Amino acid sequence: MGGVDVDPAWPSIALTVNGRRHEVSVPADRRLAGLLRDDLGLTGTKLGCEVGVCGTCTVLVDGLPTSSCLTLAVQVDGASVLTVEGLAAFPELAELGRAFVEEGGFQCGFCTSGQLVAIAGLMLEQRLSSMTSEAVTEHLHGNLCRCTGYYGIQRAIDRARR
Amino acid sequence: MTLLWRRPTTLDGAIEELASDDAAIYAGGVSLVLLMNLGLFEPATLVSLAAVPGLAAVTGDDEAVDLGAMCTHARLAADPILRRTHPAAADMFAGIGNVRVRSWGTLGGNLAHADPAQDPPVMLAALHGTVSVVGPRGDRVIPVEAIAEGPLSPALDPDEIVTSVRLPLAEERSGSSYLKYLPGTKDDYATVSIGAHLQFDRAGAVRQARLVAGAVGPTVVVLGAGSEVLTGHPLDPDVLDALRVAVRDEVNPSSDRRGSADYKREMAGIVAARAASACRPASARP
Repeated sequence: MGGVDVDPAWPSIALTVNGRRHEVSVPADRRLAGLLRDDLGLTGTKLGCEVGVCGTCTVLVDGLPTSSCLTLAVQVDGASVLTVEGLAAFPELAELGRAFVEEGGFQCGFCTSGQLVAIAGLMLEQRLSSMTSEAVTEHLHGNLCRCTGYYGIQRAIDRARR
Repeated sequence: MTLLWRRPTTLDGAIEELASDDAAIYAGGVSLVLLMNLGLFEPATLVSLAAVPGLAAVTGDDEAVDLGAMCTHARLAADPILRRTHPAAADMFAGIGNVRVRSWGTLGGNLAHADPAQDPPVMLAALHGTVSVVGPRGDRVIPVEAIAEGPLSPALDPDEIVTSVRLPLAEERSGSSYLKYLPGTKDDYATVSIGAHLQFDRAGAVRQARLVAGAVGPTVVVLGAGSEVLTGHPLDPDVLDALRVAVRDEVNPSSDRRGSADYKREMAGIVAARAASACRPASARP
């Protein structure tokens, strides 16, 4: 932002979320997850463990997989954020959502937005199809699922990789 | 309490901001916001280092490589200089936590967090790393293993800032490794971890050994007895077994959900022997 932080308790930030620019003032301790869910109404991002372990709150910040529970909103000033709500804008990801439905990639669905964003990050960088399945598993081991035993998710990824 | 956010654009400016009460440095945020989320830490002011120039570079010269404190783990894992000079360290950074931790977690933040179960201080201490620190009372350089006084207690004043870590280039006929034992999940903290750096003579005997253990004490532990056992000997099975026993008897872990103290002691010896074994230069491997 450059020099307009007049109030250090309520910094002004500008960021792009799912292609749309926002200029907001937030309390300095607002987590990115709170900004997305409470201020911008993007409730597709879920909060699970809130200690960065479960991966449910995963969003992409300038392409980087990010725990939005461990990130302050003010930290992403100037950045571009992609949440699960923004994935539909990418035609190359259409098959990913379909694969999750058809392969049983979820049951309760709570972890699904984090799973989708984490996988979408690899697809948007065009890395998914060239990675070994071990590398994909390594990339996703921080996204927990308590329903599927990961089999359905694995099948959905295999399908999206093709 | 209302939290204040400061974003100085110079190192001196950052040091000044840190003079206010209960101010804390904000690097990548992963450990700090985690402590805030758990209610264990309530800073009054966060001083972001994101706009301070010169803290996120990797540079090398004839003697050493310097890793900027604001480099993220992901950045260091992929850094072409570090991968060439210290591949075991680059691999260690690639294996920290999960991909999201590596996206934002920084080298300086990790060391200043002073958690003895973290990966970087163990490997970097084994590699004879030193930490550069700046503060209002001057600059100083401390060994990596001296950056912690105890769990989450860095040997730093609140207004001191870690700026870089310097790793001397490896000697000829030397090898390094980092092994962590993770009986639970892959992104868990280690039950025990070992960083090892061994230098060999022409005959294949160990000339100098440096072994460091993580997660088995209040700080990372340089294994003096363990290193002594190896010196002057080739890495044959008897020597590795003597190393296992020496390390087992040298560490002093406590019991927690990652294992009993006895179990961790046994595993520390075993992991140390494996880590030492993995240091053999490629030419000396069978």
